[in-house]
Amino acid sequence: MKKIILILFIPIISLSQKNVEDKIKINNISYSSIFTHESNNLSIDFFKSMLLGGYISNEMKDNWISSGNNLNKFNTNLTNSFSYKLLNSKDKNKYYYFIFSDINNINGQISDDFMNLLFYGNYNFQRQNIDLSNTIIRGDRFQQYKFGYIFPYNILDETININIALSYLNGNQHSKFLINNGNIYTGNNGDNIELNYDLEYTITDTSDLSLFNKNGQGIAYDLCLLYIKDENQVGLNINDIGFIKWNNKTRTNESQENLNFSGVELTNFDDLDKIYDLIDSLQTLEIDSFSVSKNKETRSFIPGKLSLYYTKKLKNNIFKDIRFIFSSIWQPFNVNGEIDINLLIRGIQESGYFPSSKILTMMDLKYIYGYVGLSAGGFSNKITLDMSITNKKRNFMIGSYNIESIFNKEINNISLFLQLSGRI
Amino acid sequence: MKNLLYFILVLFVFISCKHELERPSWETDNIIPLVNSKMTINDIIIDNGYSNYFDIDSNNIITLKYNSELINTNNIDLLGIESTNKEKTFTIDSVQFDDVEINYLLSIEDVINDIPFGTILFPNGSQREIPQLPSIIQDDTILIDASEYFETMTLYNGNLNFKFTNNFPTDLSNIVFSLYNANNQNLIANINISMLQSGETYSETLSVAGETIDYLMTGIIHNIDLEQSNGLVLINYDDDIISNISISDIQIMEATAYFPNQLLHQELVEQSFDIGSARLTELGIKNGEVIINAASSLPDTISVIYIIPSLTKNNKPFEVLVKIPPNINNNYTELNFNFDGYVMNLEGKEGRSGGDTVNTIYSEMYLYLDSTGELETINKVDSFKLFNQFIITPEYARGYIGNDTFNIETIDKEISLFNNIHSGEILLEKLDLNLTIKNNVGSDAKIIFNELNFDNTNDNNPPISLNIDKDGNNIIGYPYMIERASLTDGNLPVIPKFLEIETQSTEILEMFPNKVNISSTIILNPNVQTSVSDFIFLDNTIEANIEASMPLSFVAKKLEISKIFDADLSSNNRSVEELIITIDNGIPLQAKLEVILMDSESNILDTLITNHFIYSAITSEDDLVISNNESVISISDYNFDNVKKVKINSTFNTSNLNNSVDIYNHYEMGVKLSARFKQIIE
Repeated sequence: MKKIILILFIPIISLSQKNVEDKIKINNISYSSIFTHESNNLSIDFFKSMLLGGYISNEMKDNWISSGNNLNKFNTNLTNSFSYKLLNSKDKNKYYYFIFSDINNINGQISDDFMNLLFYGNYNFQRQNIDLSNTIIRGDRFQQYKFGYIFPYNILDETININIALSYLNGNQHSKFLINNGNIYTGNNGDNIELNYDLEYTITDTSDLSLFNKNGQGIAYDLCLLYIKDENQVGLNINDIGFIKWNNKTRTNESQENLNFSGVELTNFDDLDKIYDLIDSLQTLEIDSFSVSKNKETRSFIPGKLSLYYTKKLKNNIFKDIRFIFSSIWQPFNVNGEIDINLLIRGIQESGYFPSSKILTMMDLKYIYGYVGLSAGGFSNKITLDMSITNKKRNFMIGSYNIESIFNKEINNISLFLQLSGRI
Repeated sequence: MKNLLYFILVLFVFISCKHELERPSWETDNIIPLVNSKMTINDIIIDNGYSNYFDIDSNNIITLKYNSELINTNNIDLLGIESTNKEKTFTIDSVQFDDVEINYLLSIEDVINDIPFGTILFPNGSQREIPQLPSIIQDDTILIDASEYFETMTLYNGNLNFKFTNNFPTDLSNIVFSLYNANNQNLIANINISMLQSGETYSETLSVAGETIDYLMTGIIHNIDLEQSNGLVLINYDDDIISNISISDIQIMEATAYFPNQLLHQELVEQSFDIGSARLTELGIKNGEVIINAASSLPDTISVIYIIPSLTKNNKPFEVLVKIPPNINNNYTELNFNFDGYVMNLEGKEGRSGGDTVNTIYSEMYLYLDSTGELETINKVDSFKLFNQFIITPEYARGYIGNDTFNIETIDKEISLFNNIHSGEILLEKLDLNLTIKNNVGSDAKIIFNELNFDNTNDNNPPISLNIDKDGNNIIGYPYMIERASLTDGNLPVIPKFLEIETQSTEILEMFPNKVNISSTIILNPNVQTSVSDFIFLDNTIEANIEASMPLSFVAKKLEISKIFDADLSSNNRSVEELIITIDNGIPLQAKLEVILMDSESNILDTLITNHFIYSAITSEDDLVISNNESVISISDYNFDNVKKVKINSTFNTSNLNNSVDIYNHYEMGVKLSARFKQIIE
C-alpha cells in the first residue's frame, strides 16, 4: 500500500508546455509523471476492489450501480515521461525536443444493465430486457518516442509558433472487449433466455508481460499552433493522433448471434444427468464459447488530444493571466470504413470523453506560482477543481486536477501530477 | 548533482512500486432454463421401450395400442439334422506293391572261356560243330540284388516267376537252379529243367506265400549240360542264356520297402439323414460343419480327398484335401470343415439309377498313401480308420417338411404395460383384442390354443381367459387352420398368411394384467401331402401376437402410478439454489405428485416434492379442454448426497369422475424446468 501511495504522490506533468517553454534558456531535461482516474459514476472503491481484490458485497454493488448515470464511464491513465530539449541559443523560440513516455491507459464505458448482469446475475431481472450495447473496456500499454520541432512561422506580418512532432509507438499490450449491440432477456421463472449479441474481444499475446516487450508498433503525430498578439494568446493543439498495429499473435474473437434458449428437450427422466451437465457447461461458460477465435493483425487507436485555448495576460499583482481551454479526446473503437468527418465525430463520441471546458488562472504568490482552475466535462460530468504549484524557477511542480475530491465523501476522480526539470 | 538526485529518487520509487494484484470476487444469482418439453399422454403413462404405440381414430381420440408376442416357433427344433457315418478301417493288405524283376545273363563267351583252348577251338564268328559237353556249368553262384525295391518282406501272398531263355545255338539239359536268401541261406525255390531246346523259353511260377525274402538273394546253378549241336553252327559270343526272376502279386504281411504313391481306398457313397417324416430335397445351411475323425498307424502320411457334390456354395461343390499324419498310438485327428451358407441337395447322386431320392447326399472319398522316398516298414496290422459326422443348423428346407405336431407348453409372458400402476381404478369404454397368427411356413398349419388367460398376480382375483371370438368359436380348443405361406417366384421374400381372431373384453385391461399364460399345439401339414413342395425358413416360422386396442376414453379414479428412475445425482451437489418446474397442463387429468430421492439400495433419503397438486386442464361441460392450466413447483433446500434413484409417485384423476373423458391427439402438457444457482465469480 505504501508503494501505491508513493506512486500516487510522485506523478508529475508539465501542466502547460508553453509556460514552461517561456522560462527555458538553455538545454533542458525533465521528468514528469501523471496519474489520472476519472469516472462519471464509479467510485474509487469500485476500482480498488477490482484491482486489489476482495469480496464485493451487495451494498457495494448497489452503491456503484445506482449512483446516477446509466452509462458508467471511466478512464485511468498513468504516464511517466522523460524529455530533452535541444535549445537554440540564438533563438529560444526554435528548438528540437525528444520525449520518451511510458503510457498505461484503461478506458471503458459500461451500462448499469451490464453491471447488474455482471454483479447480480439475471435472476432478479426476469421478464426484463438487459441492454448490453455500447459496452467497451479497452486497455493499452505502450512506449512513445516523440521527436518534435518548434519554430515560429511568419504570415502576413504575424508570427505563429508551430510545433510539429512525430512519434514512434512501441506497443506492449492491448486488450479490448466490445459489445456493439447486445441484449439479454430472461423469461418468467427462467423459462427462456433470449441472447442477442455482436461482440468483439481482442487481446495481444500475453506470453511475455515484460515492461518493454513488443507486440506491435505504430505512429502518431502532433500539430500545435500558437498565435501571440500583445497580451493575448490563442492556441490549437492536436496531440497524439495515431495508432498501433498489433502483430498477428493477437487473438481476436468476433461473433454475432441471436440465441433463444429454452432448455433441452427431454423425452424421459432418465436423462436427468444431462441437465446437470448442462448446468456445468453454463457455469463454466467463457467468451470463447460464443465466438470464433483467430489470430490476426489488428489496429487500435491511442487517445488523441484536441484542445483550443485562449490566454489573456492580466496586469494584476496576483492574478497574472486567465486561460480558457476547450478539450476533447479522440479514440474510436475501430476503423470500419473510410477516414472522414464521421470517423472524427465517432472517435470523439467513442472516446467516452465529454468535451470539456476549463477556466484557469496563474497566481504569483511571492515564493511560488499557483494555478487554480475549474473544469466541466471529460470522463466525469462533474465540475472539477484544478490546483497546482511551482517554485519560481519552475523546476518543481506538483498538482491535481481533482482537488474537489478532498471534500467529497465518495471519490470518483483522482489525479496527481509532478514535474522535475533542470538544466544540463 | 541536485538534478541527478531527483532522477535517482524517481527511478527508485518506480522500480520498487509493484503491487501483487488479486482477483475480486462476488456472488451472482442466475436462472437458466434446463428443460422445455412437450409431453403427451404416451410420455406420462407408458414406459418406453415396449411395443406400444398410439393411433388416432376418426374422432381424433387417441387409441392406445399394445402389441405383445405370444408364440414364436423360431426357436423350436422343427428340423433337427445330424448324421454320423460308421467308422471305416482300411488295412495294409490293400497296399499295392510293384512287381520285383531281376535279369541274369550268361553268354556263350563265358562258357567257352571256361573250356581249355576254348577260344581257339571255338572262335567267335566261326562255324563249328559243338560236341556234347556235360556239366559245362556246375555250382555257379550268382548274386541277385533287389535293394532298389525293398530290404526285406514277408509275404502272405506272392509268386516267384522264373523264366529261362536259351539263346545258345545248341540245346541245354539237366538244368538245376536254387534260390536262397543270402544272409541266412534259407531256400526260397528250387528249379529243375530236363531239356531246354535252343531258342526255347522255360517258365515256372512258384508260390512264395509265407516266405520272407531279403533284398540280397543267392542263385546257384547246380548243373547245365550242353547237348551236341546238329552239325555246324555259328559261334556268336553274344548269344546268351537269359534268366529272369520276378516276384509278382505281392501282398505283404510286413515289409521294409520303398512304397510308392498309391490310392489306398476310394469310397463313392450316398449318405442319408434321418429327418423324421420330412422328405426334403434341399436344405439351406445356416450353420454347419462336418467333422472328419481319422487315425493312421501307417508310417507315411495319408491324404484324404473328400468331395461332396451335393453340397455347394456359389455353385462350387464342397471339396477338401486333408493330410492325416502318421500316429503310432492310433489317436484320432479331428478335422472340422465349415458348412455355413452351403446349400445341400438331398436328392442323392446326380443321374442315379432309379431317379432322385430325398434326405440323401452323395459324397466321394479318396485315400492316398504319400510316399516319402525312404525305406518304411509296414505291417499288415497297420491301418487307417475314418468316420465323419454332420452337424447342421438349417436356414431353410424345401421338400415335404413332414406332418409334425409341436406342443408348446404353458408360457408365462409378462405384460409391462401397467407395471407402474399400483392402485386405483380405470373404467374403459372399449377394448378390442386381436390375436394375429402369422404363418411364414410353406405348409398348412393348425393351431389350437390350449390355454390363453390374463392375470394380475398382485391381486387375489383369478385370471381371465379369452372367451369367444367374433365368429362365436370358443377360442380355447378351437382348431384354427392357417393356409401355407408362399414364396415370391420361388424365392424370398416369404409371403405369409395371416389368421386374425378378434374378441372384446374391457375386463382384461381394467384388471391391469401383468402376465399372460398361453399354451398351444401347432400341427404342420395337418392334411395329406400335396404335390406342392413345402418350405420352411427356420428363423421365420409361425408367430402369434396379441394386440390390444384401447381408445383413450375412460374414467380414472385415484390411478396411482409410480416409477423409479436411475439418476445418479450424488455427484451433482452443485450450487443449484432452486429448481422451478412449470407445468402447463393441457390434458384433462389432474395429478398429485410426490418425488422421492433414494440411495442405491432404494432407501428413501428425502422427499423432494410432497403431494404437489398439478391442475387439470380447464374443460367444458362436454369434458373438452378449453385451455391449459399452469402449475409451478419450486424445489429448494434439497440435498442430493448419495442420491442414486428418483421415485415419482403420481395419482391421477380424470377431470370428470362420472363420465368417460376423451383424450384427443392434440392434448399435451408443457413441462419446463429451470434452475436458479448462485455462483461466486472470481
